[in-house]
Amino acid sequence: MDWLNKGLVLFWCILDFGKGSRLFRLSNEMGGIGATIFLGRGTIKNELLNILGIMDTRKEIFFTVIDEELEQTFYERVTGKFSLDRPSHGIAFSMPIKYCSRVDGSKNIRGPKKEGGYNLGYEAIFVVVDKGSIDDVLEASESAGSTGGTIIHGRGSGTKEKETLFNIQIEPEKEIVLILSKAQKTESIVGAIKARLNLNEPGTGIIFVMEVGRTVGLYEE
Amino acid sequence: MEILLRQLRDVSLSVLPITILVVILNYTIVPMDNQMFIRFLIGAFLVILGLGIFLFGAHLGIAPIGNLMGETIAKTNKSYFVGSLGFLLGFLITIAEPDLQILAHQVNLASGGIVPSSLILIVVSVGVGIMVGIGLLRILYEKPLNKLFTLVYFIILILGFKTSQEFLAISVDASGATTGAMTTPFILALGYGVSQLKGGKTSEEDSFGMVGLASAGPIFAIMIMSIVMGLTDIQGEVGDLAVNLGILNPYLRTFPKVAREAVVTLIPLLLLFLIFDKLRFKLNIRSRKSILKGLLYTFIGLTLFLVGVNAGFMEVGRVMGEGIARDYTWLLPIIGFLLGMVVVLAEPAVHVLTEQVEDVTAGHIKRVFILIALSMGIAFAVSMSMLRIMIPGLKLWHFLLPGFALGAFLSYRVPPIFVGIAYDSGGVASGPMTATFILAFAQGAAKAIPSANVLIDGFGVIAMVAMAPLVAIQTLGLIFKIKSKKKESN
Repeated sequence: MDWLNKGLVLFWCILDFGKGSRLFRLSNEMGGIGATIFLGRGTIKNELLNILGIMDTRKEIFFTVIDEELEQTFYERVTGKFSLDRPSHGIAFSMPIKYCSRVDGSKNIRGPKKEGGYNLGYEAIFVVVDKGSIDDVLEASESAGSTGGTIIHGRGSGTKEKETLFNIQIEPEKEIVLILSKAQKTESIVGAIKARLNLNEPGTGIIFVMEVGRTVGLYEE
Repeated sequence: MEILLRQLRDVSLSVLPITILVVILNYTIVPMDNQMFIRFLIGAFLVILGLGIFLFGAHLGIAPIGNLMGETIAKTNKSYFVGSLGFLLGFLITIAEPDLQILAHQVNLASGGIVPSSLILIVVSVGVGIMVGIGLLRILYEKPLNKLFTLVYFIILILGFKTSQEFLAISVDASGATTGAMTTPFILALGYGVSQLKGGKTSEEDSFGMVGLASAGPIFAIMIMSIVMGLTDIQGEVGDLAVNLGILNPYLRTFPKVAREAVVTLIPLLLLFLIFDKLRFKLNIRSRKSILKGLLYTFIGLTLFLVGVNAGFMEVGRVMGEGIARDYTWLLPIIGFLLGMVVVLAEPAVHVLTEQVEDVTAGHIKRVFILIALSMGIAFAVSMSMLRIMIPGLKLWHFLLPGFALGAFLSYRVPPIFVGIAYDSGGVASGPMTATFILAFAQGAAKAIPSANVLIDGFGVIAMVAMAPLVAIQTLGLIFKIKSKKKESN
């Protein structure tokens, strides 16, 4: 597939706990490049349950980077499989991304940067790597000028790695790191992380970058 | 509403296997009388209902209390506080455990009054308290779990040589009695809370191991007590099983007793929560209400569950054990294997543990992996116990010693998180379902086989059930490690 000069989107889906692995499989079938899931809790809007004190339930939050052209297929098939068109069966949404390490030279072509007071020139760098590589990511990004990162624990569906036990796939543990960086520093931070973790080899991890509208609380040292 | 249906489905799927197995046995090799069979079916229904409600309660009430306390304790960040608060919590929740009170009473009677019940209660609770304190300190000081467990079990082994067989039995029983349906989720949540707050690279593996440590406490506490007091001889007695008549009668008789016990277990937790809330948590009304509702569900669920197990399952276990041992002795290990495989699925704390494993690893270690490993482990444990009851030459330590040794060896070879899960599973698997149903089955079998000793063989099953997960879960860990290595080398 020709990833060059294609728009990329980050596709999200939030489902009840236990459905995530099925979505992993579906995503691979549809030609996704591997996805990540982390856990969360979702609110329940049901009077009876709320009176009983049951306010939330375990959720799986799924995301993957896909080609813009796949977006429609993803929406259709995911909606079909998990009945997202019915209430409280889960939600899906997508957002444009600027760059993805798994896609060679995919500097975004989504047009010029927005101008105006809204844009403070920050970008959000997401790094997904195997559990245990987290120190490398943080060290590399700090050496390239980032001021810190936030870590989320998750699991991934590599498309390469398929180890099964009792015929059930073992989905490797992953860490998701979110780094907010000045736009002009993004490239060097991404470069440093890529070099440190050899992310050019498939199956090692993924980096993607999104534009950020507004930030507060970020300080230069 | 889907949530309730899903919960009902999950719980039914864990209780139906044992139910179906018993129904099949009833129509094939051990026919029961009609009343007992109907009682069993009612029991199964109550167990499903009770387990479902209990799990909601554990989720809303016990787990948040444990987490909050763990976080509060860890926040103090002074080893003095952490150790003593851990000790206090362990002590208080253990001393209220009804199973332990029953055990203490039995030991008192059997020793002809030499060992006062209160002494047993205090000794065991101190044992648990010390281990909970040590467990929490271990998390803060980042001491490896495998070395700690090796040390603890090595001490138990040394003490074991000096302890009489009867007190060995009592010590293992006490360990099973303290890791009840209520305390296990609490201790699990406590460790989770501390490790979450502490964070760091080992927080994942630190979330487990507390239950394993806590259940080792009573063993060495009782052993030390018996050695210090020079107790060896004790008249072994198994409480007479009342003959149940009628279909509803046993339920009506069991209900008030079980409900009272459930209240007694919950009171220390409720008081601790109210005190901590006043001083530390300062929760808003909504959260406090939700936790109190959770405790109420825990009470309702636990009562229904235990009533179902005690009035519906226990007698069936005994009758089946006796019937199979009498008419089809050679089938005992096979039936034992099947029973072990399915009984552990209906253990309340198994649900809590597997869910925590999923939460901590973000779904990497799926609960079905843990369940399969546990099923196989317990199946072997019960099966071997049956062989031991049949063959007088086979002694309990022939299994326990190599089992624990293998467990200790594996703990240096597998990813650390599996060490904690494995030792916790030992305490979790020997919960109320196994401790009543499988114990009754073994005692029934021992009764029908002349060479067997009802008291010693009965406790042996619990010890085996506590040991088997060490090997089973860590073997699972070894497989995980090998599989992920393979991936790296690709």
